Amino acid sequence: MSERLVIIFFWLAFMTYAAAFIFYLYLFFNKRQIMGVLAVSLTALGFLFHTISFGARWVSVGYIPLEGAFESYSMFAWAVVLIYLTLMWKSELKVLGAWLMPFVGVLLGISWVKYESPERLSEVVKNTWIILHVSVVFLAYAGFTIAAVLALLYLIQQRQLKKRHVNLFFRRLPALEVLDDWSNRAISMALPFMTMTIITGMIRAIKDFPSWYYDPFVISTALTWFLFGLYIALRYLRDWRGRRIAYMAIAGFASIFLIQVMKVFSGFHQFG
Amino acid sequence: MHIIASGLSHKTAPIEIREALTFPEHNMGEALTSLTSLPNINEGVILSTCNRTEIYAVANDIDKGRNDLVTFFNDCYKEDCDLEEYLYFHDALAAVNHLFRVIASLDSMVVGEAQILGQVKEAYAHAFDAQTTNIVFNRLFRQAFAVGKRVRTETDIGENAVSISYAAIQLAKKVFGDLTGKSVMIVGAGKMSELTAKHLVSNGVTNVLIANRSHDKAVKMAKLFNGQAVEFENLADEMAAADIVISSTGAENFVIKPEDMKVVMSKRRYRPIFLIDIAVPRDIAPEVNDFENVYLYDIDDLQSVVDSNLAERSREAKEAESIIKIEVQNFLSWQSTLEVVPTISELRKKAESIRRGELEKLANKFNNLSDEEKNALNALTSGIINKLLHDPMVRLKESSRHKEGYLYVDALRHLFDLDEGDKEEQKQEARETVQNNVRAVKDPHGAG
Repeated sequence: MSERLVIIFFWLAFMTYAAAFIFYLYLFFNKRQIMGVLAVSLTALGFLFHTISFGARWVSVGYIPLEGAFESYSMFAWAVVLIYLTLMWKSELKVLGAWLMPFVGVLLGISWVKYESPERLSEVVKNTWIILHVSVVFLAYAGFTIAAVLALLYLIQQRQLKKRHVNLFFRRLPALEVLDDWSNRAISMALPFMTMTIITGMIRAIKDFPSWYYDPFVISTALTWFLFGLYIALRYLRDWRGRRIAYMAIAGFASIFLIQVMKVFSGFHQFG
Repeated sequence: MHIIASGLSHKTAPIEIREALTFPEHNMGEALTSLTSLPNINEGVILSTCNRTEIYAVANDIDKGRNDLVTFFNDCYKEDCDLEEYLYFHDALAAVNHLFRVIASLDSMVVGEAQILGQVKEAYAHAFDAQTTNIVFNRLFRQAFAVGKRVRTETDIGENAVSISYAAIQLAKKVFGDLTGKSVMIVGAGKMSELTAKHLVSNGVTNVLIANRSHDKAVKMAKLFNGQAVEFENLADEMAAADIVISSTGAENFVIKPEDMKVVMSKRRYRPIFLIDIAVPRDIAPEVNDFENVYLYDIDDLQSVVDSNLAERSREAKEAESIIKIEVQNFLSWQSTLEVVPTISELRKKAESIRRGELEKLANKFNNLSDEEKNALNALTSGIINKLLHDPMVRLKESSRHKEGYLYVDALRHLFDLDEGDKEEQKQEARETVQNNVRAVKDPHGAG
């Protein structure tokens, strides 16, 4: 019964996000206040459905549902929407919705393709360190995702201003400094979560898997962590801003996304 | 009862005509009173701005009202020539449509300018104070303000800058977002750079630096902005402190060259800088734009921003027209309630339904009435109602020939409770509109 609710609300969330996306697009091409309100309300409603689906899955599995591709990707999407909704008080960033919703859709799509019935799950997740590990990792990923989208918008807007193109993108996208600043904030928020993910993972792995650091997934994650660490260092110590740093944010995200895709095909950790 | 509008504007009359037909504020009250004392005019509002002089009126007859307005205009006109060829005239739907287009600034010289909304509000406030508005205009203008507001919030019609100096502000905002706390440097004290700097300061820029070849002039201008005069010779060093630079010197050669910019940017640690070159010949070498985080706009670039914004405004104007279409229909459906014939038939309907209800009650009480008795009762009650309603109906029809006839319709609807909604409430709202809204709307994009 609970599993049926998981699926129903999963699809309700998907449809509501899709509807929100249409309103975001409309808002982008035709600035009408009411469209923005509708788009954000629909996003919030979709988020509610998504949360219910997550809760039902919890009941159906019996413990926190953060294992396997279905649960992970759904959680990734959930965290992206969560962070997006918390950014809403800065109304200039509403336009971000038009760019995030397709990504959320892709995540949910992958999640659905990899749907697993609850019985197939292993016991791995029933460890406090692992619960912590998988809970914060999605907040970190979501933060990096949003930072990368903001960096992309920065590059677009920067190009408009350099080339003196006064078009729709110029009008609708926020100011360069706003995009730069919020991209930086998103990374500054996500990096501590990423750090926590790595530490909790290490604590767990050291205990049972002596050669955990040979895992390609661990190595690429560490590299990504260094990339974002470098970003923060250049930003605060060398006062870097603008294009170069935007490319870094995008590169960091791309590496995370590649790791994710890798995971779908090769399972989680090789030692796991 | 008919709504009519007549007047002239920048579209129909040259400046010599427009300036000879204005209604200055101090005798507006007088003009309004003499307007509504005309034989066919019962409500009137006079709108007088530098681009238009218009009268909106409620008349009992379109042609007579029109003649009244023409006479009125001719009386107020200072010169001795035929005014009529410059005047336009709208009635009924077209008049309402015209007012809504005016208030939405679709009829303005610069489409989308923000001042007109405040000007119409002021015109209405004068009329309200002079008691030359009544139910129709209290309703019409209140709706017009809502239309003006709707168009501004639901379309981008007033969003984008349409003058060079405001285009510079719009661009600066696209680079920095909020301008609060930013610094501007003026290179070469001139009128245009002064104006742009003024706009920047009113948008939150706090720090103004001025560099000029003649230092005395720089000091003088610095006083104006509570700013600081800097040495022209140390331009590159001083420029590092500025987020926005406006250059307009009379120099023959580039004042800011790539090698200067290199110094500036490394001193700024490559934080973004926005350069506005409004000088001809140009002050800033165009290659400077290739530097990371440097955004350079010359006068032609700014003009092309303005052009594209104007095109955007005319696109948005189409959207505004469709909002107006809907609002005109809303108003007309309200206005139709003030007509005599439907009011009479509604009153008859109400009386008839009361009569039937009472007859039914009676029939329930005495269930052994014969057909003959029933017919007699029917005739009796109908007779009473017809006689009772006969005089008010005749009077109402007669009154429609007088200019304030529709007020009787309104009163009758009120006394017999033929509408939902309270008239007192509406009047109160109209009063509040006047009190709240008569402050000039500031124009943030320099269109006015």
